[in-house]
Amino acid sequence: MFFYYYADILYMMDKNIAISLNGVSKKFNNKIIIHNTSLDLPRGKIFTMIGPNGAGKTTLIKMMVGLLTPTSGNIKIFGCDIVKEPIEAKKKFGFISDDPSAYDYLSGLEFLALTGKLRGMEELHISNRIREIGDIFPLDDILYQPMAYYSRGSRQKIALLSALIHNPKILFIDEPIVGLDPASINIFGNILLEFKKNEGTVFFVTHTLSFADNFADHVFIMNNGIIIKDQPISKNSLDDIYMDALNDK
Amino acid sequence: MINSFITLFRTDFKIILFWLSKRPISKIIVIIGFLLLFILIDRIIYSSTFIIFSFFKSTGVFGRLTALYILHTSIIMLIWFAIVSIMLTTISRFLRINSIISFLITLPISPTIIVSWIFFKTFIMNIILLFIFIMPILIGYANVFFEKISFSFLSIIFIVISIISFFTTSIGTILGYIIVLLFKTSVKKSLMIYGIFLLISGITIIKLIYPSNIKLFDYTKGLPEFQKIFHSLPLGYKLNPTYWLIDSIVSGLDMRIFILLFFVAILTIFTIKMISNRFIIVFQRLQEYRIVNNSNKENRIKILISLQELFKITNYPIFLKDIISILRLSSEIGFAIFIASLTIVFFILNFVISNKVSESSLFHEQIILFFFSSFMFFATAYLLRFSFPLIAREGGSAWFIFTQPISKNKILKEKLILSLIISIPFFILNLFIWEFYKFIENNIFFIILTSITLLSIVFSTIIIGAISPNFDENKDAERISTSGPGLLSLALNIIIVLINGYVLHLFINNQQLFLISFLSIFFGNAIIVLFIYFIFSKNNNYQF
Ligand SMILES: Nc1ncnc2c1ncn2[C@@H]1O[C@H](COP(=O)(O)OP(=O)(O)OP(=O)(O)O)[C@@H](O)[C@H]1O
Ligand SMILES: [Mg+2]
Repeated sequence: MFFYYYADILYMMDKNIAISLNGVSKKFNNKIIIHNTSLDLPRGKIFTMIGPNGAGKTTLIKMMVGLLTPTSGNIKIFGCDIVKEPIEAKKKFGFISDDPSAYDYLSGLEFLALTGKLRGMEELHISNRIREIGDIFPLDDILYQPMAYYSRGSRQKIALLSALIHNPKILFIDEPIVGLDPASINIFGNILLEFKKNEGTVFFVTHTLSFADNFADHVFIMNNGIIIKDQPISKNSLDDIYMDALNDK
Repeated sequence: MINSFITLFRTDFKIILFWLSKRPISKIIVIIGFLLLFILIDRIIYSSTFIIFSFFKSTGVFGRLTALYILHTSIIMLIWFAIVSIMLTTISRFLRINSIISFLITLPISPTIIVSWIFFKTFIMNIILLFIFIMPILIGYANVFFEKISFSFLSIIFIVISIISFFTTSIGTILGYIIVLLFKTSVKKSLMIYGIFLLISGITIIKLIYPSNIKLFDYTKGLPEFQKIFHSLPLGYKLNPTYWLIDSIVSGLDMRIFILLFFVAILTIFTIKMISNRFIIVFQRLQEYRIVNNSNKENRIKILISLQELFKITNYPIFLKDIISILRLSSEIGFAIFIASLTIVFFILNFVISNKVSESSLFHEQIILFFFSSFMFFATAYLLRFSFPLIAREGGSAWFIFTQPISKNKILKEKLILSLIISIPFFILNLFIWEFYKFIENNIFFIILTSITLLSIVFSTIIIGAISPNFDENKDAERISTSGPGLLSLALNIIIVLINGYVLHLFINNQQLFLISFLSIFFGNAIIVLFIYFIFSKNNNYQF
């Protein structure tokens, strides 16, 4: 009995758990969209979630970043409850939505500076970071233009830069590569790998199996609000895993 | 052709039904709330016209003519008001992103149909609003002078209001369109022209209504002289078309209004033809210029770099971003210009009339209170449109702003600062207008008391807008301000104005009581605002 508790506390204190979901479920208008989901995601890995349209992937990720409150259960980001201590929890991650447009009237650079400031960074630090991440993608010409003029792909790129500006420990991304050209997809993937190398954790949702295959370590398959499969990715197996999982059901 | 026209309207109808089907009870409460509001407005207009007309009736022929003149004046003012607001609607329709029109022009529908559909929707809104404002005045008039309301009277009113509505919709649409065409690429310029037009036309109309050399209420010279003066007034000319309309209402159908009916029919057809001619091209081109685009590229980059630096050092980044949005998305400025000009025109008119009336030193207190409440009414309309939606408008970028490590309070605080900044014009106006009213002795006391009221309205509007923001409607500020919470905010502001007005009334009657009035206004408002803030802070996190 005592041992049980002890193990539990140890587990909670475990610095290696980046994201932990505990019996999370979500109802919309009395319809259950996410069923009792529990996960523990260790740091330093890239996780992907795939599943049919309407499965609840976006709903789940929105709960993780605090845009939706779970109907029951709790979500912890490095031990901080996203509902109870939202500010502490939010300091630790960056997020990119499936529709990454934000303020049309700001230029890309202004948007990055705004993010840095909202993240509580010092002036000099913001400038340095913008210089560091500014040439990840070949962007400089459009950085001075209002984001209203950006293409879908450029919005995605700026969103990634803004999610990276404060050196977060976790990245949440809903559909990372929609609208990106092949070269940018590669850059994007390599950024994720580098992020992982520095002990970062990535959780992304996608429909592009090849991308998930190339860059993720672990896959969750969600269907009708339930995680029906949860396993590491070995080379080129994702297509089969996905089809099997959906057919088994 | 007719078919697609009907389909468009049927779709509108379905959209309304869909809107009703989501949370129907609160929607019905909103509708009832607005009905009650309009009934209240009508009731006030009716009672005041009834009192005024009864007073004039007691002075015989003089009074009858003066009453006629007042009737005419109010209709002219409403025509002006309808035209300038439809101009604004037209201008902003072209300057905002409009996904429905963007979608429609990809379909094989003729532009004439799209334009007529828009025109008739505007027409319907217009005629409803005209009825709401004209009916109580006319019924007040009829109840005083005819003592009963006949069916033929009502049908004449219907014809008259239809004529006015077709006329104002057409003219407003054409003028708005012309302004948009003149400044295809510069949103700022077209809005500036609109503002100038508003002021000049408003002041011209006041001059027309109230030529400075004439004393309208001077009955001392005898009837023939009075009648001569009356018919030499611009509004008294028998050839003036609006005179025909008034004449039909007060003394039976004037055949000349059929000329007007014919005229407005042609005008309507002309308007629709003219606008549908190049509608698609103009619409597409204007969509590109929503964001202010400085021509000089080097300059632009310099400005952008310095703004970016500003972001790094400011402690109020959200506030800064909102200021930039106001500067760059100038379609928002249109409505601000509209309300500001309306306020100015209204107060000039008010000032001209009340200083004349106050020569008789009869209605001082009424004038002050009327003036106070109408000032607050304009402020409320302005705040409801600009401050109230500030937080709900973040809905479009919720994924960004609400995943940053900042509290709801911090956002509210920065939006509050913005609110205070954009209501500075009202605070300044408040400093000056009391100066106009020569019969007020201690205007510094009035300024202090009314500034507190204004402050309280600013606070309550922004906080109520933050309690349960309508994030889904983030693209449409008008929808946000006319939703349930918007109505609640309006109601609360009315209550605040009533309470403050009551204290003001006590103060006017006993000016020794300044300290007590000040304390009660100060603490009364503080309690209201703190109470709303309490509700805000007890509420849960926002959901998306
Ligand atoms: N605010 C809401 N109110 C009611 N139902 C909602 C709401 N948001 C999402 N849903 C429902 O929840 C279900 C899951 O939606 P979600 O967006 O999470 O799917 P998804 O897995 O991200 O799909 P996609 O692959 O298309 O992005 C859908 O059936 C959707 O209709
Ligand atoms: Mg999704």
